Amino acid sequence: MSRQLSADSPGRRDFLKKSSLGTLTGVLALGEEIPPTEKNQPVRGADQDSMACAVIGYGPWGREIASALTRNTDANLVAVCDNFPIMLRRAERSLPGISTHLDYREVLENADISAVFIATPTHLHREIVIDALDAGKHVYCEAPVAATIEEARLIARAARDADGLIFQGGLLYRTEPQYRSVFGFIRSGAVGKMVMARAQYHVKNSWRRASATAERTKALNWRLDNDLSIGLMGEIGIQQIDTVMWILGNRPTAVSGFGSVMFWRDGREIPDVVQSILEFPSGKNLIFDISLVSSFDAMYEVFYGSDSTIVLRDSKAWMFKEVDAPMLGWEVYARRDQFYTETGIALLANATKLDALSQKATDVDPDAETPLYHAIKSFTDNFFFGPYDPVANWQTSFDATVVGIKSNEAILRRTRIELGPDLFNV
Amino acid sequence: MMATRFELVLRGENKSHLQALGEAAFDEIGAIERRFSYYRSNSELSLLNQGAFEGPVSVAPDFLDLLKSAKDLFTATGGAFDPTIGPLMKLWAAPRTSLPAPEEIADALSRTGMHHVHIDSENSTISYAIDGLEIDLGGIAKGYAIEMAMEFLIAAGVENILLHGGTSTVATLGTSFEGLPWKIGISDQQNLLATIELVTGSLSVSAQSGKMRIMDDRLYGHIVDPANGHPVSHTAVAAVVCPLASECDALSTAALVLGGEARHSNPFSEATHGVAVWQPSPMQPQTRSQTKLQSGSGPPRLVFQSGLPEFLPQYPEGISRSVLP
Repeated sequence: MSRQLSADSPGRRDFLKKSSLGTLTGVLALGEEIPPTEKNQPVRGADQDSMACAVIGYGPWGREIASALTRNTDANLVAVCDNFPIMLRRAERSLPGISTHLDYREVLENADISAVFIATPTHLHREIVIDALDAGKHVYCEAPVAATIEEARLIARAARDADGLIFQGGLLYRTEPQYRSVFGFIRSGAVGKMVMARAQYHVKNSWRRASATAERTKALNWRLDNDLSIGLMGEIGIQQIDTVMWILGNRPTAVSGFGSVMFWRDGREIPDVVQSILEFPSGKNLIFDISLVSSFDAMYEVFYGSDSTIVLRDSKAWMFKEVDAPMLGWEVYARRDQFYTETGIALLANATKLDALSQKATDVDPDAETPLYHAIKSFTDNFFFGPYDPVANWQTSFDATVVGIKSNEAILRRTRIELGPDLFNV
Repeated sequence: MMATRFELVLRGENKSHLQALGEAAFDEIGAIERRFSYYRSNSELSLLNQGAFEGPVSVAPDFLDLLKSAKDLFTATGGAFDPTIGPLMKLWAAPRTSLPAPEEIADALSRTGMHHVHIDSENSTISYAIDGLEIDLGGIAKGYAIEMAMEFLIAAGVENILLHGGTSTVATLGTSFEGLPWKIGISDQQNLLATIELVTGSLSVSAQSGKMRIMDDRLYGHIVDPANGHPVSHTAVAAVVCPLASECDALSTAALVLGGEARHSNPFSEATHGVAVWQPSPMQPQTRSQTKLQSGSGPPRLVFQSGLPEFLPQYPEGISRSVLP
């Protein structure tokens, strides 16, 4: 008998899945709060060894999702759907025993499939999500969930009303262990009075896709199509915007934007360098920039407080203390990393592992899993141990999508847009 | 990626189209690294290594094919290319100033051998016959990644390509900017040893220099002979040309291990293959007092070559790269 590739122990899963401890453990692993127990509700997946699932959309991100699913013993990826035959041949080559489909409806008709992971272009999400929920499938939908607020609202409503089905948006950092650790740390008041946040995402990349035929190339480049794309802030920035919304515990009340095509002058109109200022209640604004031109200093988020500043990057975190900040007992034992003239105290979610303490600031942790892996793990935990409300639920996913869309609109119009509370009503 | 630098040259009319294809090609390489990395504990390869002694592990069809190729090359080279050589490599790479004890070498040898890897093509599973065995695809994965990236670029319609990884494995298609074959130099990092011209094919070079170390007052290279468990000392540089970059990558290591014997080995005598082997220059006492970490006192000497296209080993001994025009 063969086994699927996995680092997890099936014995642990089997035990938890069939025990009352399972629900509690799953919740603790995932959520900020323990939801009330819903009595007499069947534990989904209790009679299954793994969650049979399909990936719809097998582009680069769909392939990342498939890869994460194959590393998760709770998931059994059985089908891949894409409307481009070459992608299906790729899937057959790199995934053992997979069935492939050109039409997503074939996947939805398969009663053995419990969940679908949707990674098509953003503007194609709505129909597939709603059809999948109608077909009784649990849904993981990539973020942003839609390219327009109207479509995002339709998705959110369908997810809200799909009783007993999981809907999780692809917001990656709410389930990432290091971010969760820092979330608790900041919420405990360790930074003192939070005053502002800053984030950046810098890569050197044209954001253009190419294929052998003009027709396919046009379809692949939906992100550069003004009629379909919600730009850098909507497609990329949504992840960091959501992280800040989550950590600050608020939605922004207004957004201002700037941006233009600075370098990739290949006929595109979607800006390749953008800056946004998102205004949050109490004046805690987020200053955020994205560049496809300069890759300097890559991606990070910074939270500035009166006692300390916290930097999050590459699933790592550091605290930089003010000289007048109170001493924290544990910091005596913490690892310190030098950043030019600043000394950062490493905040390690895995601090109990001695090898993590001995890592250098720039070391790549060979044991580190991707944020996507953790997001999918929270989905499968919910499938087996739930039901409970995912941390990236329909409302959260809708909120982040709305802010991403409005941020892009502010950039294109070079203006400031108020984000009233009604905007977030589903 | 893969702890080295990849560079890509694409020749064509549409710059933005080629730029996008180049970025996607590098993404292909990055994806292969994540899947087959020996160092990432969650890679498909690591998960195979963690479980294949306990029982058969299901692997993806393309992974199975890669492992089959690796095993075929192990067999064809008489074990000179062996992806299970990890225990020996670790033994010799460990911080030390003296040679490992014979028992240590024997112990490491007992945990190597691609013939202990059972490949079940029908069920697409892999199992290991002995405990402690590990596959490290470092000797073939870079070439495989280049091969896959080339396949992607060719499928997308690009007609003129040069792609290399770490300057040790290069694949080409079509012609260079002058409309001429791609001209590629072979060096040991100190001396330009030869220049070859490639139109469509792959070249891989394995060299000892740059990764030498001193133990018991002698210099040792980083490539270990899987047959006896000791670093290779008889060969300084080996170069192989063949159609597939993955095969080239593996065969250049094998040629370095085999040295002059490579001329009698089957894979190198195929019509589509070329090989050249250089030995260290005449040996002088190899002590700590040497300032240059190379095996001898001058450029390596060509032992033999066969089948390399437009092979030009014309540079006289002693002329270093730095003084060439």
